[in-house]
Amino acid sequence: MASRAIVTPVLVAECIGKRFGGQAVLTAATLRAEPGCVTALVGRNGIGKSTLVKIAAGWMRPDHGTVQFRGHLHEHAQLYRLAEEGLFYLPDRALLSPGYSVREHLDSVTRRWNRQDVTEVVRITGLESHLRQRPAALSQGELRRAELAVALLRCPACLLADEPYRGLAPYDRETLTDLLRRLAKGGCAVVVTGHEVPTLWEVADRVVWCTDGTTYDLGSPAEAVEDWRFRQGYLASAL
Amino acid sequence: MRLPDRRFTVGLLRRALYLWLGARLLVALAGGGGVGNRGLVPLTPRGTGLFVLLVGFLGLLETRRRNEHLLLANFGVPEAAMAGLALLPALLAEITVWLVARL
Repeated sequence: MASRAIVTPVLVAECIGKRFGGQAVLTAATLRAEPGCVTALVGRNGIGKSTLVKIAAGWMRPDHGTVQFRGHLHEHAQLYRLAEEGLFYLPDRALLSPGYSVREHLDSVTRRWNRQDVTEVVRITGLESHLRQRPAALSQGELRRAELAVALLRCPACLLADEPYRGLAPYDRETLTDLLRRLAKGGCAVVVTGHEVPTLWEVADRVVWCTDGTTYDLGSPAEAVEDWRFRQGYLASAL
Repeated sequence: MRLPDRRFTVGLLRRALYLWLGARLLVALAGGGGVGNRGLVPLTPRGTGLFVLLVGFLGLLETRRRNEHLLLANFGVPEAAMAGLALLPALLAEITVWLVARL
């Protein structure tokens, strides 16, 4: 097995448990996000990936477990507090408000976080011709790029993106991969969930498998495919 | 407590004001529910409180419908601040109606 340097994680959601009704979705799940690293959180539908990401982002309360962000322990993590410290949560549904144009969203980030590099972000996300449009006028891929532009402009220490590749055309997938890699290269800890195995394998440095209420850190994508339980329980013939 | 960016704050306040106007119009059409029989009558103190809370709640629901609660949380704004902004126009408008009615 290849050795890995020990890096202090930016975000650690530890021993997370969550029940919905009588059903335990998560029992002892752990999610770590390391700076400069893209972590792919994978698992079957309904297994609790989105729940774990929401809890790690402070958008949902766990039944038990803790969230540690940038060295601060949060027993009841809340997104607005974590966001102040540098977290950005991209949900699996639309993030931008339908009432404002892309430009207005970016301007808000610029004012809020005192950013100067809006032109550069617009260029690398390819949004030059969409700045005046509102989210309803954008395609799914353009919308994702616009959301990523907001995240890029924010320069977060940690980005949690829930199913960012869902419904995207190959061109938009490639662009999104480039943007996520660029964020990681800048030192951001990135976590993505999804089922688009070839794409996730391309972008990820680490793979975490969510199954049976818990999580397994499988190491690099190459190491993950060597795990027979993972191959049998999730991958099947995906690769 | 951090407030939303100016653009979002103005939008939230404007929507809350429209909601108050709409709700007030409905109350007036329904016959007042208050002290007199004229159009924009003051409600009873208890009715005013409930009315302001209702309008604030509707404002918060609208904020959620537009995904702004999640976007603004990513900007460090707590939902309590959004709720406060959703309540404020209704509260101020009700105080104004109450003062005008006593002139």
